[in-house]
Parts: sequence; structure tokens; C-alpha cells
Amino acid sequence: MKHQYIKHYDEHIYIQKISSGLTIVALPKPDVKTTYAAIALPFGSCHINFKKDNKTYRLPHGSAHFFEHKIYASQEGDMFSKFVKLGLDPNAMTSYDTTTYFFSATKHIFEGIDLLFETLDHPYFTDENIRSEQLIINEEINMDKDDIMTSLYQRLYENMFVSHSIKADILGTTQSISEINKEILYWIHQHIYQDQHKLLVLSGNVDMEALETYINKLEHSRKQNVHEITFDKPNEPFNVIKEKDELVKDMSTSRVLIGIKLPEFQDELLFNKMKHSLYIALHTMIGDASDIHQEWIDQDIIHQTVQFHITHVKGANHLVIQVQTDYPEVVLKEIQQIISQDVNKFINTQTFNRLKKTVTASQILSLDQQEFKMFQYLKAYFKNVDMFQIMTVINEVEFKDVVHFGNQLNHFPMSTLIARKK
Amino acid sequence: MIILNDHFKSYIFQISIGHLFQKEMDVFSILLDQYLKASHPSFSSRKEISIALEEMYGLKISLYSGLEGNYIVHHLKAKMIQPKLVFDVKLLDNVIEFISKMLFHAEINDEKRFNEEKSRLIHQYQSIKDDKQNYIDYLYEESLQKKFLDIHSIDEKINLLKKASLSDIQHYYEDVFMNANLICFATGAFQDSEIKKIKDAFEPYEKGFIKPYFNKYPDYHKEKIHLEMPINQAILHMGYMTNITYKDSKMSALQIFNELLGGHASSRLFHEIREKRGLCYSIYSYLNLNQGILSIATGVDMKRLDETKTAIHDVLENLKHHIISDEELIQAKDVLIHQIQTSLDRQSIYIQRAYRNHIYDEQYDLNQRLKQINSVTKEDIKSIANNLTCVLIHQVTGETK
Repeated sequence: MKHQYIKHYDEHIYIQKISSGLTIVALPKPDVKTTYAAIALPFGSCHINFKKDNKTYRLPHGSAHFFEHKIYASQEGDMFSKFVKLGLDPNAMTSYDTTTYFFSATKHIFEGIDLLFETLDHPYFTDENIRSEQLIINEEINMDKDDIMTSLYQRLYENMFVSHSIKADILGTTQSISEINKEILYWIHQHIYQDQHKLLVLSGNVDMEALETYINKLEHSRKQNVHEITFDKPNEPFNVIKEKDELVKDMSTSRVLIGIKLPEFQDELLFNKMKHSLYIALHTMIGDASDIHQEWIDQDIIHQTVQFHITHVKGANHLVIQVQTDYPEVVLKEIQQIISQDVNKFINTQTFNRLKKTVTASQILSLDQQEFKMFQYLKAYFKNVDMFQIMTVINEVEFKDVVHFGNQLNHFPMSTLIARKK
Repeated sequence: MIILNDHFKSYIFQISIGHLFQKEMDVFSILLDQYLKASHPSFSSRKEISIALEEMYGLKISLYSGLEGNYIVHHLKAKMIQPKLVFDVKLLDNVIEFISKMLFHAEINDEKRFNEEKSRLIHQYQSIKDDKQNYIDYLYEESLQKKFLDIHSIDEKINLLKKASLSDIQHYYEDVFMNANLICFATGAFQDSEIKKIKDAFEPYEKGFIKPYFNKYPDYHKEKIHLEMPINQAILHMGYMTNITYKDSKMSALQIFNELLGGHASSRLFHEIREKRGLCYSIYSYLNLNQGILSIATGVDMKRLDETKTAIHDVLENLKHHIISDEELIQAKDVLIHQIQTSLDRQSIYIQRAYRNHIYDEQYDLNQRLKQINSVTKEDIKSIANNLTCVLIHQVTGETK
């Protein structure tokens, strides 16, 4: 395997691609007892349009998540129980752009990986097991309907995005999942679940010698699939549908959500530089240690920290600022005023250096979490970079970057939502 | 003071301060935690405190209190980066000074700050109701705890918070908190000089022991609670008294029983209720070993609530009347052992374990623990099933129109 030592973080990466197209990555840490293993694919809820031989295919919303649930079915019963029988803890997760099947183990690691392949290689979809899964996912949808933030985000996304499939929930809707049938699931399996799209990552306690032997076995057993398809690129315009919206909801405090669309970058590292520069800029402008935060607390306007989060999905990069307050107009107006001002008014080198300290520490501490590391690695991998390159870029963010990107924020398309308490 | 050595990149401190439970003090305890977090004798505002935490490389501090048996226990937890990783020789001194002043030299005299924090706390309690799933879990646990101890409901707490004054908190801090029993823990890859600093700073404050007593379950009548709320699913909790608590010789058998009943995604409940009948998305069981309670929780289609209750009943009846297979027993043991071994990679677990060793007067021995788990038999599992008594059925459904 190709080895890379990241001296700055004292981390090792081993990587190899076999002839079937499968890529294998190991992030070993001998101090720990647990091994985490995952097979991930760059296929998530936002991928619904595909092209093959000049023909277009469209999947119902929620297909990636439905597939992730149903792939654990087998003719002999539930594959999950096979993992448990080996003493492994299996799980799976669908995000906007990735599906990940993983487990943690303290023994039987390679048997566990064999099981992951067996699960993904041998689908067993029937009309009956699909009907039963529709009931289960409907309950998951109902559970989400009872979550206030999920419904508010849904509304905000409807207003922010013109055509991007991020508008639809990862789970899909009762209607869309009712359209999913075994033909669709087999189509997904045949065209997307190919080795060339798969990444196998191991982190934590990895026996590298045993892994090399295992890779040799994979080299002989894994076959290349010939079904070529193209994932359709999203064609989302850089504007919002609705700039302002309001609703009333049964909740204890009103909320303000500000959604800001962020641009696409060819260079993934540049996007990360922007992302972390914006976090620092926002922190200085409206974070815990900002003047406005103290002012709002003094005036009993807010009771909780202002939250901001950047989501990175092709064609739908965005920032959401969220505040709980019973003075939504006041807070919204003030945030809009603040982000329209020169960031230099809020930050100096002393503040910048202080915030860099927290960023540096949180990066170092994150390396203690082997599962987190595995997820960070695969997320970055599907964006054609490695997580340590991103960490380096974050550490290299300079004062001028914070000012530069922070000052652009006001020029990006924005949609606001006031949710008033009933 | 208990100092542990590990290989992680951070240091964790825990200071636990406990006193006997008195109903009128539970609101003061949470209010004091809130005040102490927001007011520090060295800083004049929340903003300054936030800046100080950032200067200490994003020092994470949490301070909360809760009921543990017949005790109210405050826990301060602090997580910092290892100073040598950031080449900051003053970092540990700064963190120790920050924590010491915050806890032991508090100045409880700022009426304005007090009112701000009170308002924040009231708001936090009110907003528990917004997250319906969590709120219903909270109500279920509250209903169970009320059987053991006379505690305030969430609405009573909100009303008492509104009435609490700064002088209540002053008296509570001076008369109760500062005289309570106090124990300190730390874990990290410490150097000898650092251990000395930590001991010098915190050991002088240590006194007494925190040894809560957990009441026996007083009433074996089954209680049914049915609430209505504007929700899309029916949320069902079922509570069972097991008569097995922490340190009981049958504890490992109970933990294995819990694993195979609803502890993982291949358990009986998951398989029967979710996979086979498609009644729910989530169903699981969990234990409260301090009080010997096993709980089952699920969210289901309202129209199929009765069917779900019957199905859960059938799963339990099956375990009462049939011996499980060797394979299922081994599987449940493996899951439990896996959880225990995996937890050793989490730094916070070292402190949790040290704290539990203190309150239960024991020395954790991993090999002994694994031996106990491996000695559990199929008959032990059947016996657990036969000794379960359902004490609470708590169901919440959508409002009747």
C-alpha cells in the first residue's frame, strides 16, 4: 500500500486501489482497541438524475436512503444479525451526497468486511419486503415531522433552492417512497453499487500485515462492473426563490433562520479556506464573544448561543444562521446589518489569533476520535482531497482570508425565515 | 483525588460536589450551576468569560447537577488540550485557576446577572417541550422517578425558578454547596509536575464521600399514563421493575437480557416489532441499574399502538416461557463485551468509571467483569424474564380532534 506520514499530526495513511476499481484506505492507530471499518459510496439523497447511453433516469426522492435500509435484507434473513453474531456493531447512514455502511469491532474485523461486501453484493428485493420497509420509513418520516427544526429547515430550503434535490428530505416523502419498487432498487445496485465507486476505510486498531493479505484476496475475488453511468450535475442557479418568509408554529420561542447560498469552487481546498474563514468571521461578528451577543443577553433578547452551520453539497453549498428569540425582527435586522459591514470592524489580529487557537486545538483533539476520523476521511475523499490537506488549509487561514471572505457574505443570495411562536 | 493516566491528547477534570437531597433545593442547585457558569470573579461579563475560554484553546466546561439516589450532585467537567501539544507552558495553571475561582471563590452578588441567568434557565426548561420526543422521554423518566422520591415536575420547577431570588442562591452556595462532600478526578497523559499542580490545586477542597442510597421500588401496582399532544406518532414507554441493581450478582444477566431484548439492531424487539411487523422505525430497551428498571421505548403509527403493545407483550412472554438458543446467548454476550471493550477508547469513560467506583466502593476489574458475563446461563435469562414486573405504561398520542 502507498504510505504517507503526516508529520504535523503524527498520522499515517495507507492507500491502495485494486483492479476492480475499489479503493482501500487505512488510518491505523495502535494505541486504541477498536477498529472502525466502512464501505462508502458517493451516492446520497441529492443524486436522483443519471444519464446512460444518452438516456436520462430519474429516481424518486429518498431512493438512496431506502436502498441503504433494504440492502440488509437477504434470502436467509436480516444481514444485520450476521454482524451481531460476530460481535460487531453495524450501522449505516445516508447523507445528501454519501452512503456509508460501517461497523466497529474488537475482533473478526476481516470477517466483518467480508460481510459488508456480501451485504452490498447480493441484494434481495421483493415486493413484500419493500412494502414492509415503506411502513418503517413512513414512521421515520412521522418522527421527523415532530421535530421543529427539521420542518423549519425544510421550509427554508424550499425558499432557498430553485431545483436542487436538497429541497427534498433525505428520507423522501410518503408519496415518493411509495413509488420505489424492486426494479428501481436493482437498477441502483447494478449501476451505482460498483467497486469503482466504493471506498473501504479502516481506522483505529488496524493490523497492517493482515490488511495487506486481505487486499491480495480482494484483488483476486473482486470483479469490475461494466455498467457506465453518469451522475447528472446539478444546475442550480445562484439565486433564491423567496427572500423573506414567515410562519407560525406551536413552540416556546420564536426563531429566525437566515439561509445564505455559497458559491462553488473548482478547488476543494479553496472552498474549505472560505468555509473556515467564514466561521471565524461569523464568530467575531455574532458569536459568544461578540459585542452584539452580549448586548442581546443584557437586553434579554436571546437565551441561547447563535448557531451557524455551513453545508457543503455540490450545487447547493450554503450557510444557515439560526437564533431563538422572541424579538425575531430585531435580531434579523441586526444580523443583516452586521454582515453587511466591513469585517475589519469586528476583528483584529488579537481576536484572530485567539480564535485560531481554538481551531488548532479542536483539530488536534478530533484525531483522538477514530470513528470521526474515518468519516472525515471518506467525506473529503469523495471531494478529491484528503482530510489532512483540509486540516492544513484550515491551519493556514490568515487574517486577510477572514476579512476577504467575510466581506463577500453580504453579496451572496439570502433567504430569511421568521417562525413565530403561536 | 483520583488521577488516571491515559494516552489521549486532552486532559479531563471532574469535580463532583454532592449533598443529601432536599426537595426545596433542587431548583437552587440548577440555578447555582447556571449562575456559576455565567459569572466568574475574574471577569465582568459573559463575553469576557467566552474570550478567556478561547484563550485557553477552547477549554470546554460543563457544570450541571442531578439527582443520584438520595443525593443532589453537581458535576463540573472540563476538557483541555495537552499543553505540550500547543507549546503553552502556562495553560494548565490558567485552567486550574479558572476552575478554582469559578467554583470555590464565586461572588454571588450580581442581581442583574442573576436575573438574566434565571430567565435563560426558565427559557431552557420551557423549550424542552419543543422537542417532543425528548420531552416525552423526560416525562416518562419523571413519572418513574416520582415513585422513588418526591420531586418537582417540570412545570413546578419553572414556577419555582420564577420565584427564586439571588439571596436563595447565596445561602445555598454558602451553607450547602461549600459544605457539601467533594471529590476530584483527572485523566490524561500527565507529567509528574502536572500531577503535583493538579493535586495542590484541588485536593485541599476534597472532603467526605458521595455515597447515594437508592430506594427500593415502593409500589408494584401498574400505572398507566395516557397523554395527548400535537404529534404525528404515538410514543410508548413501558417500565419494568427487575429487582436487580448495580453490584447485584445478577447484574450481568440483566445486561445480557437487555441486549437480546432491545439492545441492538438484531434484538428480539427490533426484529419482531420493526423488521417483521413494520410497526415502527425505532424500538429499543435500556436499563437504569441504580434503580433496577428496564424500559422499552418506541414511536409507532397511532392506529397500531394496541397492536404494538400486544406484540411487545408477546416478545416478553416468549422469553418467560422458552429457553433462548445457545447462539442467541453468545451473540448477546458478544455485543455486551464489544460495548465494554470499545468504551475503553473513550477518555470520558475513565472518569465515569472512577466516579462509579467511588460511589459504589468498588475497584473495576475488566477480567472479572468479562468472567461474570461469560458465566451467565440461558436459565438466568429466563429467570430475569419471569421476574419482570410492569410498573408503568406511558403513552402519548396525537390530540383527539
